[in-house]
Amino acid sequence: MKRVLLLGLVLLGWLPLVAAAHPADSLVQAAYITVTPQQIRLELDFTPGELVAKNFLIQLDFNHDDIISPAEVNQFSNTVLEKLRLEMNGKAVKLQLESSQIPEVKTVKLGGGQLQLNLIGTPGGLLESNQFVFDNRFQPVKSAYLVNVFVQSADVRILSQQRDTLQQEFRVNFGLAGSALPAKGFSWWWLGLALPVLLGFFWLPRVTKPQKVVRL
Amino acid sequence: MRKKYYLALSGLLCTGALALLTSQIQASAQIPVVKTASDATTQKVVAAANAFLKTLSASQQSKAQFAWGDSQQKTRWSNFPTGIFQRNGVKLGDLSSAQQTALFALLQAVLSKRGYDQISQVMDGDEVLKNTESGGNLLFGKALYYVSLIGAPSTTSPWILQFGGHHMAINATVAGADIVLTPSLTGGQPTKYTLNGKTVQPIVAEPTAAYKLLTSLDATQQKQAIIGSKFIDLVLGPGQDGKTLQNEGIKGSSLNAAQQALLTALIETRVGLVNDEDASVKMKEIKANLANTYFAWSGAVAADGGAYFRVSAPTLVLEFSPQNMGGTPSNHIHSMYRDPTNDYGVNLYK
Repeated sequence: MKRVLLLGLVLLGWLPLVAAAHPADSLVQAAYITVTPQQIRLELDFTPGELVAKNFLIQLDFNHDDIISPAEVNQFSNTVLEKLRLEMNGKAVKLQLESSQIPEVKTVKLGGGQLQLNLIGTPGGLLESNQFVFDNRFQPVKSAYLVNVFVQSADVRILSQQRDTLQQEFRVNFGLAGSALPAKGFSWWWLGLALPVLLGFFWLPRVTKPQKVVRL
Repeated sequence: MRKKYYLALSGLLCTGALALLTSQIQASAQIPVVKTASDATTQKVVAAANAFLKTLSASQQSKAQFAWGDSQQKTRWSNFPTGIFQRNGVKLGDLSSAQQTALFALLQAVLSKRGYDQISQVMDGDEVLKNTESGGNLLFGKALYYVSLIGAPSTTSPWILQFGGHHMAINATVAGADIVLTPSLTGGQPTKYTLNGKTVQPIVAEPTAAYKLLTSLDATQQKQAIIGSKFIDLVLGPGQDGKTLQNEGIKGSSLNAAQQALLTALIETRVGLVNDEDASVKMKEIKANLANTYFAWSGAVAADGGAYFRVSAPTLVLEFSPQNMGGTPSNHIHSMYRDPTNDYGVNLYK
């Protein structure tokens, strides 16, 4: 009975701490996407609340030495990348880890640590108007998602943004302007049209040119 | 022989002069010059800052003061309480009564009466939190708010007053005639408490003004303004300096005159934290850009302060974010105030 009472008191002491915690029972996954005419940059910030921090760390501090090493971040990043989807105009864009900011384990355990992954994708062949789709299905623990787009270049105009209710899927229509507009390349279609005309112009008159009559 | 001597001497002199010139250029580059001449408000603030510094001991002064070029200190602020996040500077709890009075006089000179009352009430709220919910590694209470100065108080060169703690990061850049609070984080928990028999609600004005604006919109306008059905976290919170968010929601040009007045009133609740004179300068700029200002809402349409909202304009981002941690979300708020073109007053000096 005494043990039950003691446990009850301990739990009562714990509850207010939980109520005031920062944040509490979820992993905040904030995605910040920056579109430039050349690249898509994705900053992914993982902030686990103290109630889920331990389970989150299992996925990150693989050898449980209370130090998050760059190698562990790489491994974690690969796991995350498997659950991310980035498509540009219907084609998959490969994301690569460019850099990261690694928090201290003790701060993560308190609910104040943030792991930042900076990923980069090079879609190539952007058009005057484009659509990208970003989808985040990574959920090692209960997660709260946030996704937003940043503006970096005046040549990129965000036309519309659409998120699902949980902000896991994000569709953005954007246009390119100014110097970012794709250069008009050599068009075979134009050659196809122009060739007969050119031939007609240079060759046909020769064929049909009346033979010079040599009068003897 | 004499010719060689003169040549060597002139070479040395030239080198010395060059070194002197370079060091002067470097020194002038380190301490920028403000673009506007100081006014009475700035002079009052500088005097209050110097008066506060004068009350500090030598060791407190060295703790409180940072070089203008200390960019790490500029960005060392957070919504987190002590225990998770360690601030630099002098702790309120370590200041004597006279020192605290001098600090409060400085804050009163920088802020408006409403701004000063709000930060005082947020600190009182944290004291309530300390008495009701403190424990473990998380530390709350009024004593755990820190003050620091980046650069020396001056009327001719820029400097920053930082005052922060749990749910608070006031970054006031003073530069000539201008004082700007961007970026600053406000908020609080609890958002309603009783102190000395009185009910205190430090941040009720903002959600009330936002709800008033939202409910003034017709169905089509609300469809444009509401970007989500759930409240979300801050997008441009701590660590998100120098980023420009894509506008979302309903554009100011789509609002009628009465709705535009409500939008202006909402913005004023945040901009008006700074002293009246500097708030009036900022509001003039906001009004000139009102047609290009966006209002977005994410969450249930209710007056309880449990929804996220954002105002974004060419020179303003204002966010209000309820937090899903303990109790009702409206009891725990994080708010951000930024100017994408002028955070830390970067436009106010050269």
